[in-house]
Amino acid sequence: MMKSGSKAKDVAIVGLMIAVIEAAKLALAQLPNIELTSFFIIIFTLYFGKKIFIAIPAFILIEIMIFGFNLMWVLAYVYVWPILFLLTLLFSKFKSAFAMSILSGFFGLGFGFLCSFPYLFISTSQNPDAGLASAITYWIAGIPFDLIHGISNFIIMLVLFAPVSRILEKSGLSKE
Amino acid sequence: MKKKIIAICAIVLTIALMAGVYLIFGQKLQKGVKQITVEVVYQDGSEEYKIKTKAETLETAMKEADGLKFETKDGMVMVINGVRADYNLDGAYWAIYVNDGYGNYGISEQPVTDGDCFRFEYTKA
Repeated sequence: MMKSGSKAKDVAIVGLMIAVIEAAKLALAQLPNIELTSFFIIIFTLYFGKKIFIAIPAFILIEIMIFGFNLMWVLAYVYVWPILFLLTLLFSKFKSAFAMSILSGFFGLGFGFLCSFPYLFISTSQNPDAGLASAITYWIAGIPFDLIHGISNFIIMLVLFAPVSRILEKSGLSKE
Repeated sequence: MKKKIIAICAIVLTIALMAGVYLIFGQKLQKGVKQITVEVVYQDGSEEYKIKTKAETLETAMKEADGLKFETKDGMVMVINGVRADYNLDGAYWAIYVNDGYGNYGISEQPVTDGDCFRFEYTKA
């Protein structure tokens, strides 16, 4: 009984994480490169641990259902968000608003670079001439958006880390 | 405190470096009047448009061309003068060439400079 209750709770938590991430993404969809996905993946990793790793593929599937399938960004999402999860685990001992803001900021700045990797290998109508030139061009063209992304990620984490952490700690749902 | 200062400096330096890369290597928009050529190559023929424009990007310049009608979706050209090249539906796309080299930008980001020749070629995937 205890085990099935615990599993039900885990399923509910994963569902909650997916819903929160998706709702936040849609809410800010009109603001280019200002997003809460990075914030929530970091926070949920810190407070729910490996459970967020189950939520990430579900989040990607929902994105495909809403926005349609585009090979380049779907491929990028498959590794970019798990990378953020792993980086958060790596730096989880520095669990503070400032440290996580630095992590989130650097992630935002490097987002375009990370998403450029499919352009090295995959030829599509969007990228018929796959290769280093294509990937570099893609990255450079997106730098203004990466700068917005990095700075906004830093500020969002700095402002929201403490209040959201308090809510998660009081909820009793976290792994701690 | 020292670690915080180092972290802040690192992020500021990264921002500055990225901004520098963009300013040096990123696309530059040209102001003023320009004369450009847009060629549309279909499977069974082609059409050419000579455009005199102050537009800074290709998309804006194309909108000024008499007789050139086009539609875009998600930043990509889908239909030109009624001829659709939708990758998902037709297995084809409109390849963009800039001065005979393959274009690396979408038409809304592609800069326009005086004397440029743009070619849209119907291409089967």
